[in-house]
Amino acid sequence: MASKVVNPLRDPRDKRLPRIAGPSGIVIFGVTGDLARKKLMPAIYDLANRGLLPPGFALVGFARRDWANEDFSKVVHDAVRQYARTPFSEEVWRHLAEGFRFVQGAFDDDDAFDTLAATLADLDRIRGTGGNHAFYFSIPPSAFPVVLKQLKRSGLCDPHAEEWRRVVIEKPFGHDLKSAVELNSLVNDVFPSDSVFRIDHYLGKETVQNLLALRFANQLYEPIWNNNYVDHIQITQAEDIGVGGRAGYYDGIGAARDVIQNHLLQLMALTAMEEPVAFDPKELRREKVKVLSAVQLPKDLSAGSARGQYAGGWQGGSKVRGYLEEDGISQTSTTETYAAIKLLVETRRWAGVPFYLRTGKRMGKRVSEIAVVFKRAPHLPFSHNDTEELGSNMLVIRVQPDEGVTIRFGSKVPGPAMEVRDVSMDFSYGQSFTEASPEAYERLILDVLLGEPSLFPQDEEVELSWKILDPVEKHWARSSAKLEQYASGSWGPASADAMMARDGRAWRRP
Amino acid sequence: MIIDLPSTDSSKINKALVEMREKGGSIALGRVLTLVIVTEDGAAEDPIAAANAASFEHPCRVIVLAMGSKRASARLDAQIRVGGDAGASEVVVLRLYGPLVDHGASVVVPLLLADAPVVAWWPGEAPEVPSKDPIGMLAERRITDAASARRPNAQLAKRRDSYQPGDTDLSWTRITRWRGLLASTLDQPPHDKITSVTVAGATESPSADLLAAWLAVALKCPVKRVKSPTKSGPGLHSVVLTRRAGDISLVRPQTITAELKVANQPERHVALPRRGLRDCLSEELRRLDADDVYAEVLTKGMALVARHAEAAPKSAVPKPATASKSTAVAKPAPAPATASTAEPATARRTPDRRTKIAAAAASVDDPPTGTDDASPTGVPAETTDPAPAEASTGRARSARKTRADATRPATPRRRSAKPADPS
Repeated sequence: MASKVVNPLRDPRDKRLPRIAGPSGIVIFGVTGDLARKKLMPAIYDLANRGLLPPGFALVGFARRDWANEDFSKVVHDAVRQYARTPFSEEVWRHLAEGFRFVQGAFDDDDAFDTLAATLADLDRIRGTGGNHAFYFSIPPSAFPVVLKQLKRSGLCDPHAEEWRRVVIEKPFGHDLKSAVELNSLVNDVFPSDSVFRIDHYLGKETVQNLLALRFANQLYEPIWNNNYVDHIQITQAEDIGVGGRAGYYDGIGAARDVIQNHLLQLMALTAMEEPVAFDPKELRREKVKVLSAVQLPKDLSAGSARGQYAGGWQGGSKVRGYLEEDGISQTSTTETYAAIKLLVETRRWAGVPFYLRTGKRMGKRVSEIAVVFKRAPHLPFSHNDTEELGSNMLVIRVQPDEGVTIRFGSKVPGPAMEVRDVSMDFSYGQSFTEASPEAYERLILDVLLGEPSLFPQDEEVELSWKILDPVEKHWARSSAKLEQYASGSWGPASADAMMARDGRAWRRP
Repeated sequence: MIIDLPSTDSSKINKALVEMREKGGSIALGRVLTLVIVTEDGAAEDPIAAANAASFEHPCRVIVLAMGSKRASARLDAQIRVGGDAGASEVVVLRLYGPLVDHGASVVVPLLLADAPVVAWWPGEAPEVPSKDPIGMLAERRITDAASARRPNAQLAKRRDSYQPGDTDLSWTRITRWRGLLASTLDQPPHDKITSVTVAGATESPSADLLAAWLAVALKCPVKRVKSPTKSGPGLHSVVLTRRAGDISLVRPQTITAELKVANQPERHVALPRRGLRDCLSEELRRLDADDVYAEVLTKGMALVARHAEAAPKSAVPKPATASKSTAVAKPAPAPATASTAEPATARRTPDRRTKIAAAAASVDDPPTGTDDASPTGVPAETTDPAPAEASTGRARSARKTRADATRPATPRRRSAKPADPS
């Protein structure tokens, strides 16, 4: 990791100098899954193409398939051709592909892990990976214990001298607080906590990091970022797809555990946190933990939460099935595909400002955003007629798609009368920002290789997030009635609208 | 969408831009800067393509000043490109004719975006002193490209002599990846001090010169800049960092694949192609404050580098005669030299003939005053190291990599060197 020795070639004024990872390699468990194919492999290629991977980088796949190194190489090649962000370069590919290896085996197969250890030793010797290896767990949590045990038994988790060994895990980080704590201790048994990197890919997104820049680099927003001016905050993550092939994983987990526990609570932490004294990982984490520990649930959980399942129908031009009709889902499933909760942050800054978090599948469109809704002016000198159309000022941070920031404010409608209506002032990252802006996984994988922990939630954040969600899940579990259905392509069940209406508010249409 | 406005003026162009936005309903993107490209008519398309590509990262207004014939009557033709023809920017191509060619700034001022920083880019020949150029004076950042000039080394020397904060050169940008790789090797243990460096590149490679200069400034050890072996590609060839714990070498024999060898570790390969214009421009536009490291490397580092003709350091046994003669000749050289620009200014001659002669006069490089290993600070000024070497292979050296140019009484020295040359 960061050595205390000062590198004479790294001048702090030299802002161009890229941070290229040191000699290293990645082992992916679960390399045949979608995540590896659509995100990890293309990200690794894009990093290599941008010159950020060390020469002699190695990628090892571990799965049960009966593949030779060449077959694996072809799989990676196809994934890269299809999903990579940067143009394909034969030279870059060739050099990268020289470091591909495949180890066949099951997770409980001792021999396979010994072969893996031998492969890594070989790569250290021949390819120059320097003994630095990251183990990416793209596997269901149920497989964690056995894989961790194997890594311990084979000694793969033990670095020698100046090497590092890290583990990268994807959400879900447990099923509830108890299992999350167990999972943390299970992982920490094998890897020290500063070698554990939990991926919440939202934190790798440009706009999410821009949130910190927006709040803390400008004078303009800090004075109004509190309960004197803010009425409420809505954080939305909507998908237009259904569960599709993930039914086996999704059922029993549900939207709240899948999205609210990690992405939305992280977004909420970044929106609500106090300013850190410096932008290093320790300080950022400190502020996030502080704000998460101040989060309170409403006293009446029925009134302060809503959930539902999408029903079959016509969405966006195609006919789709309802959740209960999907393959692999039982007719009596009580797993929600839409969840909304109201949270309060008990700090001086936010007392009295509700945070409404919602997420759902098969909603109107795919969008993730944070909307800060301001209070209306205490007195409007205009007549009621003229300001009927005027809503609340809003600052909306669009996380995806169409990254950017919008401010809504009232403006006079051109014409003889003084009529005021809402208009939007928009900052967008550009039409094709995706072409130049790195994908979240690129940034995160590079940070794992560099040992840079800022963008990875730590134990405490994960546990605090579960502390917040657990009571809601318990409350929901008490009722075994059929879940409210909402039409595919709509913005959620009626109970969600009712939840807002009770507070005299309404959901924004993103 | 492309709109042509022949025989026009800036205020009409402004009106047209506003109209296009209103009619065409183009999305009001947050334009972060104005990029002014100064080029010749007919050489505009490549820079425009690079700017369009870079605009995805930096949406901007691009104003291209394409200089036409000075002899024509004064005229301004404009072409506005938005939408698909312009990436994420709006491009205004201004073709200037006649006396207007000298007054590009007057045309550009009304078209600069409010509040946004201005970047000026000369893809080809650049003014002598960019910061005093009328367009350069409008800009926060001035991008030149020494490698595209007819005489790159001379051009780089001019950049050094006229440096003002905000100046930058693409030959510096082109080596960012090399620098990143070298820096990353030093991130790893053992953290031994580097005792000497050798950088090899083509004769006329400002990038190689800047890389050597950077290493000299950062590592504070003797740095040699030599010519790459014949038949290797243009540009940079290799860098070798010597240290007690074992050398680090980064060698790119042809133009694409580089080998990274660190002692006691297996050899590793990486694709290290020459960087395209688009990448370089994107990097340049990322930061608009003055590049302090470039400043230091350019103004102080270049003087620290000892230049040698051949890439074969040890085999040379300096011919004593030449050496002493060279010392004799060399003496006048340092005198006019101010320490900071110690590099003797032998102007360059036609390369080919000189190279052959140089090859013949080959191994006189290692100057008797021992540049290579001896001087710990690597500053040649006091040891006059480069001077003798230069003078000894007088023409040879002048054929190869000269660096500083023009400021020095080059001509007289060269003439004096000529007779001294033993050949």
